[in-house]
Amino acid sequence: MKLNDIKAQIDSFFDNISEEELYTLLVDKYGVSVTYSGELTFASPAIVYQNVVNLEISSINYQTISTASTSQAITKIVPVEAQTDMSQDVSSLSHDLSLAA
Amino acid sequence: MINFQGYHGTNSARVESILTYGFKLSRGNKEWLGDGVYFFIHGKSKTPENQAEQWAILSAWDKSAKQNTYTDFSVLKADIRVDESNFLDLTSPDGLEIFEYIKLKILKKLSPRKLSNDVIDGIVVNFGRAELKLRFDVVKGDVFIKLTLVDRIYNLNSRLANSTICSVYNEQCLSNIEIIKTATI
Repeated sequence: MKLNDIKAQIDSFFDNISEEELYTLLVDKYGVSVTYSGELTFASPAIVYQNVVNLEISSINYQTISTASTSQAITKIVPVEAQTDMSQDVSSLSHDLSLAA
Repeated sequence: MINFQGYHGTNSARVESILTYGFKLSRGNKEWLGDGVYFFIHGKSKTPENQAEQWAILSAWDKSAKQNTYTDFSVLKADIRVDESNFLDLTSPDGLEIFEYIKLKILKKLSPRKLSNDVIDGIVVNFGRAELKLRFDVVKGDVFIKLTLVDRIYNLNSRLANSTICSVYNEQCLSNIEIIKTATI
């Protein structure tokens, strides 16, 4: 038995049955246990939102730490009289950091 | 046409009925390869007849009663003959492709719901036969079966298949059924 010989028959069944009908059939006739997936629905919006917030916070924290340590390094290295050029150094350094990230 | 031999171990008391009226199909969605009469066949084991014997011996034990429910067992041999187009061979890439296709179709259609059953092999086979109207007259697969006393006592499972079995749904695929061994446990 090969898939190509029966594929159309299989596809036809699934094209003509609704999600609800299939769900009922599987549960009632085949004793299948079915649950909802939190990842694919908005059934639990609080959980989904929490994930997004956590992701953003972690990004912000990372950039904040990087910026702070960069500023300290520049303060120590760059002489006061050369501060005009420091902005260029900072932008250059930030660019490098963002590439590294 | 595909031909092979299968071995079925059972309570000796059932043999007369089997030889007279035929086998009684094992039914249910928890069956390894769906509804059918089950046989050990050549594949993972060189001696499927011994596996059938071991199955008959171990199946006699009633856990709750802590005793054998029968003492005499038999091993039957049968010729299995099936048209290739009605044979789902889950030990082959072609057979597995069919199985996975049906499974994926079910899962996609159900999404975002998802199945929480651990094993749905028997369900997919029975579903294919009953709902998709596919002629799975014989289904073959490699599985792990607890065939030693140690496996049974410790309820040990394994991902390594130790048996090749088949479920025969269409009894017309069976012929030349004969007793090859009768013994006492």
